[in-house]
Amino acid sequence: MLRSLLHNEISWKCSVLGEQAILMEPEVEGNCMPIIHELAQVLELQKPEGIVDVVPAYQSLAVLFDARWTHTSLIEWIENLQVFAPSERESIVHEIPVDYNAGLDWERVIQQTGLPKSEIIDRHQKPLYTVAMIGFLPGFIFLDGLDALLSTPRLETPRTQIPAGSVGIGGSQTGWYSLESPGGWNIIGRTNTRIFDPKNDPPISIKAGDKVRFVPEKGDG
Amino acid sequence: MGTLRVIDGGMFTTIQDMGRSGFRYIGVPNSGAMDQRSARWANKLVNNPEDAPVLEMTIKGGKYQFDKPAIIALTGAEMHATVNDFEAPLNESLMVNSGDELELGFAHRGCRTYLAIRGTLQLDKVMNSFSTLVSAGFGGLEGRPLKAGDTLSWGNKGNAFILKKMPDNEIPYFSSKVTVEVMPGPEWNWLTNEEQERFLNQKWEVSPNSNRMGIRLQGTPLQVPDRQMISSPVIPGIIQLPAGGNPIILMKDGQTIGGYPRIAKVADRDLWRLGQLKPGDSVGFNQHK
Repeated sequence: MLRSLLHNEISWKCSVLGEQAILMEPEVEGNCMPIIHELAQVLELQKPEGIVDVVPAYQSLAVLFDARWTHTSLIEWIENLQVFAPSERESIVHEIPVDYNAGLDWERVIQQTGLPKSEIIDRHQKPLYTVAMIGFLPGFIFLDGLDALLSTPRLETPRTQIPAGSVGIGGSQTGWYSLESPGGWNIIGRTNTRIFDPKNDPPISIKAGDKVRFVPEKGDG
Repeated sequence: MGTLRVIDGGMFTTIQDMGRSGFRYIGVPNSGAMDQRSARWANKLVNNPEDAPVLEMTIKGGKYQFDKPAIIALTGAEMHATVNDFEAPLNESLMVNSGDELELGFAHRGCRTYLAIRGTLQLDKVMNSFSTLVSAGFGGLEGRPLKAGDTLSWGNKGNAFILKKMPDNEIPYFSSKVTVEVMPGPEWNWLTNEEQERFLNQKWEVSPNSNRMGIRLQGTPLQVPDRQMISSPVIPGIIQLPAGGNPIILMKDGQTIGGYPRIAKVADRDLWRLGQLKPGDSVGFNQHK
């Protein structure tokens, strides 16, 4: 552990992740995602030269830097960062149409949850999800806010190929494979909305802290 | 403009440079050469910028034909190399002529051999890099390993060139028994003192399931701590301890977020050595003081 710093009235534990990486963990109880996203956004917007990457996860944040910084100098700089008032922070809502008929694991999810397909769809579309983090695989979107009744354990044998745009349930989380990838989540639908294109700058149109709502595809009545 | 035609793409050959940074926040790893030291040297030997793209050939190199004269260099693992069936040296630049065929066999020491061609490879960058990420299907040549029939073009540099050699004291010896420096990871203290000792004192074997994403180790498994781990950021060199107790060293294409305890991290300056490990080789860890 390097030291704690204070940001936005919260104490963050800072430790070494690597020679050019710091791990930061807010010392709070319960859901710290909004706190992590606030710091991630502040860092992104005020990022000086030499901060290479800011990687949010559920309960921690990694900051990667180059030779212009040391762990010590970076911690000091972060501690002096200007804080955003909640109203100043942008919070984008993405409405994502999903074709639930393109699900691959309906039998499993229906059996596991004990709910009929139509109710599963309703409960999946109801919440306004928060993008918790993007990781594990390029473009894999972890969403927070899944109805607890829809919880379904991951597949015992992951698939080697899941079509891009697949939306699924893994344990008590819901998520979205924006690129074709292998994976073990239960796929209940697919969206044609493409959010990840390696040729774009930035390559993805969604970020941690944004909100997502799944909506019926047009023409679904 | 010269063209390289792939007659045989070897076991697993991809185009790599020094990687792409700044995209881990969307799950995209750094990628890039697994043995950066050797890749940089290949470029130096042909007077390319050190971070220019090279071919990274794994275990068995393959066969390639040049349609125009070119200056090339081969560094890294000791693969038996021939140009038109004549011995071709490693670790120095050499000239090939129109129609020449370069063939590389099995690496008998080390794992990855690098081929640099003097000039500018005619490829588009993806997310600021020429590196291939096969798992996501982008970068390099169409996001995949090279195969028979592929062609790569490069723009020539033109100026006169004096062939160079890597100084003898710079030529690495790729042993099958490697020791690297480690520092404690965020979850190092989840291990008891006994388990920490057992991690540091063991000679771990590289499993055949190792690749650019990670080096899977086999040995006497460690006791996995009975604690819940929340998915957290990881970087190349981080050593994870999954259920089962056999550690994994994350490498260049490794995932960006992981759900296993991060018990240690290999020093950045030793990562290139890991890039030359083959299945069956052994790794030991020394704690960074």
